[in-house]
Amino acid sequence: MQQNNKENRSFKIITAIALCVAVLCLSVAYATLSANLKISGTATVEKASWDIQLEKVSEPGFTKTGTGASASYTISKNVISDLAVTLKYPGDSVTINLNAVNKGDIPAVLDTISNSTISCTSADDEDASAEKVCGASKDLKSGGSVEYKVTYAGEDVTSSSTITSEANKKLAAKTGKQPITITVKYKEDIQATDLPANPVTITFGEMIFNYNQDTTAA
Amino acid sequence: MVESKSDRRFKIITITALVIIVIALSIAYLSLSKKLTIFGSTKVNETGWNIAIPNEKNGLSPVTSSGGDGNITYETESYDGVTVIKNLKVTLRKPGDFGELTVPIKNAGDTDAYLAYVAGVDGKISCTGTGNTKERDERIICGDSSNNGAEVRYTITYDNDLLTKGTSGVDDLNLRSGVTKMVKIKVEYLPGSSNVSTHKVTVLLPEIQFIFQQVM
Repeated sequence: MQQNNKENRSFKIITAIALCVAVLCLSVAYATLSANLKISGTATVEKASWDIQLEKVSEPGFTKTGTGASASYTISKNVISDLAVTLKYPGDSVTINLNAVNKGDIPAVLDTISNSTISCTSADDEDASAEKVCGASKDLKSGGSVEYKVTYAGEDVTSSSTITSEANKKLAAKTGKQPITITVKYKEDIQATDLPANPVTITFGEMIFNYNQDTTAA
Repeated sequence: MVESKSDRRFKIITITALVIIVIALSIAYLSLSKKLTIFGSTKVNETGWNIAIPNEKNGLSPVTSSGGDGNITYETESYDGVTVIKNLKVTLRKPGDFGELTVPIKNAGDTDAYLAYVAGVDGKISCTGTGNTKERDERIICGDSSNNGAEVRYTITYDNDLLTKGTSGVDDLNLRSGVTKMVKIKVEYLPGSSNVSTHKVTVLLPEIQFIFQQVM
């Protein structure tokens, strides 16, 4: 009886130890069951410039035909000012030759064009001469002896506020370039009675080419 | 001397008793041994818990993508159950540029897990500008002290759910055994921004931490 008790006690001790070890093993395994992912870092925003400019194609920045044609103007980055064109004789014409150039880091796309408003006045405020030159409405839109035309990338935008070709609207960053021409011409096929008695001044209002960032560019 | 009958009987009884006792002990010992052998060993399966976050051993690789002039690079490091995507560097130049890092998280073990917590998703970015337009550029890129009006933004998604605060907004936080889910970090120069920085600006991103635990 005593012998059996000792054996039973030994058995119980061994059993208890085994159970404790098993529980310890399970406890250790549970404490490590987690996993972490950490992410840290920085972003760098490099300098960028938004810079669309007008440039002369070549000096003097215009071509002319006829003996009485002349022109002058000033360019300051993206503005042409003080444009002065003189036409003396039928057949005289002046074409201002420019490029729209993207010198910045951001690709651009032509969004809208706001056309010039044109008005004509003559010396002594005489309507007859102004109308002969600029048409009845004195804005070059209704006849007259002078023609006026603007092109962008070869498309006529004289009275259109947009161009049709999507490719022609784009100016790639750093290298993009599109030609702009402004032509004023004294028609050749006019009668002597169409000649103005006094000099006529044609005033061109602002013409604005508006660009946005081209978000479709690669 | 002649043994008496009584002596012989005693001896016989004694021998018999001894034999019985020895046999009984042997049987008891054998029985005890058998009981001991029933106990085997308990072993935790090595693949029971295995959240396979990318490291050089498990072959999972984060994937980068970028748009415009964006560029993105990173390094990884693993220790004590923690994987770190460190030195994450995104370079941007103009509105619309972005860099994105996609990190696959795989439960390669037998134990289901879940995303217990995500820290840092609401953290603020901070900017350090350079040059003589430093303050202006910092305001453009990082906005005000709460990042209102910032032109650079970072977003974190888990399994295509955009994380806002902690783990809210996530449809299924579980990462069951055998399943892989994607963590995405995107840093972008907001498209349509009308301002650009004149000089370089360094943007410090907040530390993001994903903690996965066993499903009980």
